[in-house]
Amino acid sequence: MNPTRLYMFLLHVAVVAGAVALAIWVVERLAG
Amino acid sequence: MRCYAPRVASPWWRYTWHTTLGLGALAFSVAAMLAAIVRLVDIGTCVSHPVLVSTRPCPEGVGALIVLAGSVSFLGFLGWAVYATRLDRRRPSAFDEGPDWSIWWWPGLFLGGAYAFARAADTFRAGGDTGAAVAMWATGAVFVLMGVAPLAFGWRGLVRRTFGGPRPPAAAGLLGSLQTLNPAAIAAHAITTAAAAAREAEARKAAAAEPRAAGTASSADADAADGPVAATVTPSADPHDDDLVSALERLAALHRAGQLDDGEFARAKAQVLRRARTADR
Repeated sequence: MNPTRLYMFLLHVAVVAGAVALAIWVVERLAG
Repeated sequence: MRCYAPRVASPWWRYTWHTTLGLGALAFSVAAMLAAIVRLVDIGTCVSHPVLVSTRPCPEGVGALIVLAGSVSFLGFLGWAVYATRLDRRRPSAFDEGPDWSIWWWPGLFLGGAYAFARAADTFRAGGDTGAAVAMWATGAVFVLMGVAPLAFGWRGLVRRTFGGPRPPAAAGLLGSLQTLNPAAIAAHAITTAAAAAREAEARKAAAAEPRAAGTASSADADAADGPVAATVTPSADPHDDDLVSALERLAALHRAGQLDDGEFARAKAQVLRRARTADR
């Protein structure tokens, strides 16, 4: 099965949102 | 604007894995770097070394933030390379399909940096340090200019490229693949491709219109039955001369149609004449 356009769009949004949230969490944690 | 449909040939799991790995590492690195820089700018000067000694002690965690800001750039580069090598069209992969945001690293990085500088400027202004605030604003303005430059000159190319539009041809190797991420190269490629297509369409239109004109002329002049050039110019016995005349006619038609400006027309004409002289020798 191939990915559909909607799947690709949602995947991109989810990956970027997750990565940004993780980065902010890590920085906040490091900064104390 | 035309909307490009993504070309999909990979199973969903491979596409998902590669996108998560590459784009995730890239987005994490850029976001972590910018967040760390924003925090560090908020903290302000505190680090001492043998020459400059700061009276303010650093709050806890500053060292870790500096290490993070420096080290994630490497992770970001790795993620970027993984996400970007989908452009290597000689090795089709999951990365060759679907939306591709990797070219937006440039505006993202510079506009994010501009945000950090604007925040710092505001902090300095609130603290009464006008000089530092002005310096921060100026740096932020430079970052904004850097970030929007490719958007201003070729945003259509960038958007098309994101959704699978024209890509610059990739040179061999990883460096060649990464070169296709150069926003300037992408914008330039999109602009030259569009201009070449427009010129070609115009030339085709002109070529389609010319025989009709020739037909009208030949009804008036029975000798001129050899196509567009013969309709307006007395045919020469020398085939080189005919080539030359037809090339000049085509250039003049493009010039009349507005496809070539005066300078381009003059240069092209000089080039055609130079080639003809070389052929004569």
